Amino acid sequence: MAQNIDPVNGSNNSTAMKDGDGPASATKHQSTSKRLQQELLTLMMSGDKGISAFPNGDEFFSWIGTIIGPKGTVYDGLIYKLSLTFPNGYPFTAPTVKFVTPCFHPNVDTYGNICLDILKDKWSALYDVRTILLSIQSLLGDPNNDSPLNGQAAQLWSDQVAYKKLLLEKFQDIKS
Amino acid sequence: MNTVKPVSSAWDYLKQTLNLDGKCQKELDRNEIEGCAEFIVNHELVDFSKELVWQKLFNDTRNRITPNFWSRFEVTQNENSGYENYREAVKILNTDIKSLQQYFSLLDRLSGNEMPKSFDQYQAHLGAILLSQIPPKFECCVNFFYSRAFRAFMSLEKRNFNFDGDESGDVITHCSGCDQEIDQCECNVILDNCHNTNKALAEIGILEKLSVGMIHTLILTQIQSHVQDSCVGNFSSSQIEMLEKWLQNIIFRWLGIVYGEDYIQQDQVRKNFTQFLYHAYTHARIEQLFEIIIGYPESFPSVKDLQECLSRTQLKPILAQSLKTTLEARLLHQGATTEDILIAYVSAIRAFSVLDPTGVLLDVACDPIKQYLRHRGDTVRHIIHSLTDSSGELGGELELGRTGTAILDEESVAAVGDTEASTDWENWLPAPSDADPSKLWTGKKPGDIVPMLVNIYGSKSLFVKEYRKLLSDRLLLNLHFDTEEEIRNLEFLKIRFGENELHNCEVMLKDVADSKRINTHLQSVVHKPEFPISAMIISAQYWDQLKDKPMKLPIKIINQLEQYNQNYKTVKTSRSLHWVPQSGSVELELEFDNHRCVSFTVPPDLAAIISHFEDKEQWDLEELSQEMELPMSHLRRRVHVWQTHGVLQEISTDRFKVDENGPNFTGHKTEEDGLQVYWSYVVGMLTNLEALPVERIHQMLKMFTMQGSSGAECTLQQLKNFLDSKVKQQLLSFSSGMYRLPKP
Repeated sequence: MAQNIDPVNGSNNSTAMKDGDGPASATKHQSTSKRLQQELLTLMMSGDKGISAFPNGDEFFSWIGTIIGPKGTVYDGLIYKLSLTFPNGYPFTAPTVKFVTPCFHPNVDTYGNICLDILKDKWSALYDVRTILLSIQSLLGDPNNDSPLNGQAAQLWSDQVAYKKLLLEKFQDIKS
Repeated sequence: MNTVKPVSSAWDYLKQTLNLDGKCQKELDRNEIEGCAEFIVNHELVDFSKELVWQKLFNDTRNRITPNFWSRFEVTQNENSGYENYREAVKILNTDIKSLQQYFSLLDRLSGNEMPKSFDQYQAHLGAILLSQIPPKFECCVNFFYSRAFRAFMSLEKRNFNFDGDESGDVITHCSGCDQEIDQCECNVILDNCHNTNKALAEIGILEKLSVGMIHTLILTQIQSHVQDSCVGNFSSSQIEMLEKWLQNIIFRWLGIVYGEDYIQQDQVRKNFTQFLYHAYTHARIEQLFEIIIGYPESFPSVKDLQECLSRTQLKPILAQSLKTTLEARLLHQGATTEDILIAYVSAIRAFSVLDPTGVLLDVACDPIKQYLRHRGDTVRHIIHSLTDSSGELGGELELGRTGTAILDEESVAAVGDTEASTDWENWLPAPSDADPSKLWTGKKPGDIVPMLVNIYGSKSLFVKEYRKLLSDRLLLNLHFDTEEEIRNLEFLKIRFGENELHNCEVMLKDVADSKRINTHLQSVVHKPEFPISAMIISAQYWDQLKDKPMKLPIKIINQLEQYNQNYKTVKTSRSLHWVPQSGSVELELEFDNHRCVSFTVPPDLAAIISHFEDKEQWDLEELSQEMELPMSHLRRRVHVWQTHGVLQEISTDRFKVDENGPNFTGHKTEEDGLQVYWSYVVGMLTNLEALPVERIHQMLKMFTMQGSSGAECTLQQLKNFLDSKVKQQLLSFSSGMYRLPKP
């Protein structure tokens, strides 16, 4: 079964990628790929608990990330998937990061968009995939309630017991 | 009729006919006006009556019509009421003014033809009176009215011509213009209303006076937001033509609808808006300039656009300033590697060669990069490295050197060229007006990357020195005597820097070639040597000082080397070799007591250490240190290398002997160990992508980890065995052809 599916997927992916790229872009991609490959290596070797990411397909430019909710917060043990898309200018331009698993959180909207300054105007080439994921992980336990994307979550945050109850309900809904 | 009446009765007559006290609402018809006019003329009251009528008109306008008009706007709350109010108010105003028609007819009749039309005169006054009483809410009202009309216009336009090239497959069910379902769309009505209102205003001649400010503001905002929308994240297509077309098709047509065709036929109006479009577009692009530069050459179309716009706007200084700030904020900090900065700089040079062929902008905007790179210690090294590494970003640049700009003489590099001595004086041009007067403008065109990079330091000797170091490192690191690549690089560098500067390097390459020849010769002379020696013979004067830490080699090696030296002397009389024992590499094959052989390629000191264990089974570190004339601390580190390979073992503190079992790994285990490297990748893959078949895992490993030469290739079968062993250890689970991580 696998053999029937994979080559098709694979070839689809690669043609889709090729369509977007001119021949001139080859060198540009090279340096971005090199950087991403290096980041993958560090991420694989770092052995951070609770965060992980890996390229999603045959190219380096789109990754899937996994974050486990940090201990001691209401998110403890919940597993969230994210998508990371890297532009050509990476690391000079920030990647686009979104929650794929719906996430009930003051700074995440219903489409999975994340309100986090280092992904927007505070981006700098200093950050990498690892720091992004760590930042988002710590954002889970420490939301910025001043500029919420999800008003309900922000209001409820002060009542942690009720918050956790609703959170778990929502999380169960997704699973079932 | 001809009877002359007393003045008082004339007054009464006028008062009544002209309705001076405002009591009577009846309008005069043509005949009555004629009668009245004749009456006035007969009484020789022309000037007086005219005065009287004007007075009446002004009073009416000031006290009745204008407050009436403005009062409509006081209750404006939202867009809807604003829109309606405006429409109503204009309608009433128009009726009011029309009702004054009788007076204008009378005035015209009285003045004859020599005077300007009384209505025209009145219009000027009307405008002034209206504006003198303008309420604060009015602007907002006008804004509501025209915004709504513009939306309706855009929405209709979109539907009729599909202007934006929207996905035509989509059936629009909701009208964006009037916020109604499409089958109840009121856009046409709105637009008609707008048209009528404008006509009404135009008739009484105050359309432009009342609305021009607001409408212009509205249009400028529209242009701004449209430009922003079409620029966001899109560098790889040219926008300027699209935008010009949009201005022509939408904005000018809209203006035509509001003010009539005549208005937009005015050159000045068109020019103003077009100019504003360029400004808006240039500003938008300037904001994105950093991304554009990083994305070059994909972003070529937007660079081209920007170049065109810059020639029509005066925004060059703003561009330079903005880029400078962005560069400092986003590129020139500790987090960016020198390589990244260089890549960005090269991109910038390339982009600017299109953007501003004079090179002035590049000079100003990228000055911070140059300044910054000068402070980084590894800059020269990186430049040389990337220039001479043929697979790298800049690999091709050396070859690209045109003969015209060939040799970088010291003057041109330092930018203090003697312009008068220039042979090209006939083509001399003055410096562009925006050039920095504190620097001498050399008229050098940017685009040739190499001189620009060399220019960072302003001196080529530093470069040549660094290149020599790099060359020496490269030659000594790979001891295969393969210099073809380096000779090629050197030839290109010679074109750039001149033969003299690079003389040393040439000698170095010749040394390598000579060594190769002498080695072959000497090896054929010596019969049955204990081990083959190939020496890299370098001329001390031309090479950088090698880091030579003294070390005593084992006596049999010294003998061999001495032998080699003797043979060398016979070939090259009056020359002798001075050995550098710590540089080089040794190929070893160790045979252990259990007859297993393991081969190694190691530096000389490691080889010397192990060779001592041949003669004596156990060594104290101190003994060994005396024997080899190496410091204890250094030696301990080196011995540790053999220890980790399982060749030596420490039997008591600082006392070593050969490990009887030899290297403690078996053939099978090596394979698994090699694959262990991939384990964390496999875990990462499965954590994020859930379940995968073995083929996919293999493919992805190949993709993401084996690109470098470091990772050993592994076959599909090997990987499958490896994964299955992990399944046995319950670190993985396997079902229906897919591997996944076990549930925690």
